[in-house]
Amino acid sequence: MAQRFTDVVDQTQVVDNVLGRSQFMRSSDNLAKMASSYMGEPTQSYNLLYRSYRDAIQEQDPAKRGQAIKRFGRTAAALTFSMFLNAVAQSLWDAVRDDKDRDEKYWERVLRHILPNFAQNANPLGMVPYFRDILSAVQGYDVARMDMEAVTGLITAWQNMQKALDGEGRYTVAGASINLAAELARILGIPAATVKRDLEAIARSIGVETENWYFQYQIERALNSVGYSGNRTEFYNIAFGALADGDLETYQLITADLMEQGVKGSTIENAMRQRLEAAQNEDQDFSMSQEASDLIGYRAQYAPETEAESGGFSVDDLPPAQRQSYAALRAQRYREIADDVEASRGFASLPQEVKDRALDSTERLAEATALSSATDGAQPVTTQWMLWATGGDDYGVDEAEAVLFKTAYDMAESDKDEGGKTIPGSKKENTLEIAGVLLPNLTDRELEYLMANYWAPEDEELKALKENRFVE
Amino acid sequence: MGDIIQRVAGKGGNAYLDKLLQDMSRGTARGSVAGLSRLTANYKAASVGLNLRVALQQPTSYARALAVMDARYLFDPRVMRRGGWEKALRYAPIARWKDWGNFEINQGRQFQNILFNTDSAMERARNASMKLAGTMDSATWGRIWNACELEVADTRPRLTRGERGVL
Repeated sequence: MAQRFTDVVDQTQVVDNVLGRSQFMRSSDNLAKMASSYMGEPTQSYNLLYRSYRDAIQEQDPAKRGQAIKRFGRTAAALTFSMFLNAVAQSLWDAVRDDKDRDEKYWERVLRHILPNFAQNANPLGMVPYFRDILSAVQGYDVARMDMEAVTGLITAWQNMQKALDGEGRYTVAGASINLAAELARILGIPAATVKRDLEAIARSIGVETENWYFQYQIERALNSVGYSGNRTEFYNIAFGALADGDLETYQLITADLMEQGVKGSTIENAMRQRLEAAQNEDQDFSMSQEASDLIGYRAQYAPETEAESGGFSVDDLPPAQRQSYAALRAQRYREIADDVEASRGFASLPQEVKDRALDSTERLAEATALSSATDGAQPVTTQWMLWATGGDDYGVDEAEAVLFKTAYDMAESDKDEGGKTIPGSKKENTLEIAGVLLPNLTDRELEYLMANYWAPEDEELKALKENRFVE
Repeated sequence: MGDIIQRVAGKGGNAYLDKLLQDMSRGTARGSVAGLSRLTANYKAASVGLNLRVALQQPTSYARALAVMDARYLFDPRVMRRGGWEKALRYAPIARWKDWGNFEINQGRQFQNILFNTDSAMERARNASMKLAGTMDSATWGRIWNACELEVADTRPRLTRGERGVL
């Protein structure tokens, strides 16, 4: 019994003894040792295949030869099956470590890894010392010297620690300390670095599987510095994940923290818009809640991206809490006005460019009024048409009507006579004609109010109102 | 003798045999494991120890046994019975060798340490980190033992269970 067991183990299992290793693996040369690392399994497989092949071609007895050929086929099948199972086992853990796509579920990641792992396991070049190093280099990996790898890892960890203490570099002090401890342990042969990597991977996977974006953020935040620009992508990806899932509370928590660490609110919003566009390009069915896309100032169809205020005050100067309040108000105002603008009778028939302009005006109005509210009036609305647009309650005019009238005004051009001279009053006439299409139900009083922003009103009350409003 | 070896194993046959006998008599792992070699050995130990990816791969070597054993024994549900590894340890020296903590990373324990339990604290820690992969191996080999039992019972029906050399 034991003899049969020993026979099976000897032929098919890896044992680290002198007889279980090839001549090359037994070399005392350090380079040969490195090149033959982890070669037990491939050597075993090669021997198994080679012996059955040798038996098949050297056997002279036809009947026995047939059996030997069968054994060769069976060995090849067993090895292939074993390599496949191995690829599955590798993939089970690779999927835990894989943090490329936080939207991909565990089993999807497992399936994605199986084929490449199998291809790698079955590649004969990967089983030959030195050749497998060349193969690694071709695949874009560094061929590291194992003896020096640990030393360079330790030196790098120490340098990262110094940077972290100076508030620089990619790691937080906690992250750099853990790395340093792990690299020290590696020098001594203790697998702290592996444990650290796997614990991180497990924690990250739990966060991904439970779609707990804040937990994912906290893990990254504990180890990686927000100040290091190279880390931002990961933080933005997590924030976008929360946003795309409609978890706006978490999104606000994450972005508030990022802003506390000095990241500009507009930079975050821009990063979110870029991710949304990328997601939509990748998957046309990708969608995000209106509330979420409003929050980042994303305009799917119409308005071009608004430029940040230049010179003087910028919304990014606001403290994080106020900046967030501003973003939320801006989103709310924009949605209220834009919905009304888009619902107006003539809007759908407008050329795309004009729609863009109308919604851009809406965006700017929302920005200005939100800023005024978020700062309790410390940053008041100063643009004339916006002041007029927000002050028409007494005349029954709302912001959407003001935006549409402005659009009509912007669209309208003056007519020219035969001599090329502008015909007086023609701009006004054309404006009223377009406004009639966009706002067909305006009362005279409403129209008078809207017109007063662009032309001197005849009505004394409006005249006084206009003078008072713009004198301040 | 030398001529015969050269005829059978080719030009390098003698050198191969010399080296093999040398390695068998004095071992390969210790003595040379110092300086850079120690760093290499430690790096490998740190990469393999407590590595769940490595541990998960260990049982897949069971499928390689299909090359020399019929699938009906290897995939018989009875191979899952407990006690296979303990029997292997008792009757098969190769299993005991594995159990002493030898892994394919040039990190084999010295006999002195195995016999007198004189591993240093660091060596104990390293050995402990290898336990995970070792446990997976033991579980695999235990199943192979059980499969061998099934095969022997099937192919040699005249043998009696408990008989010397049979179990």
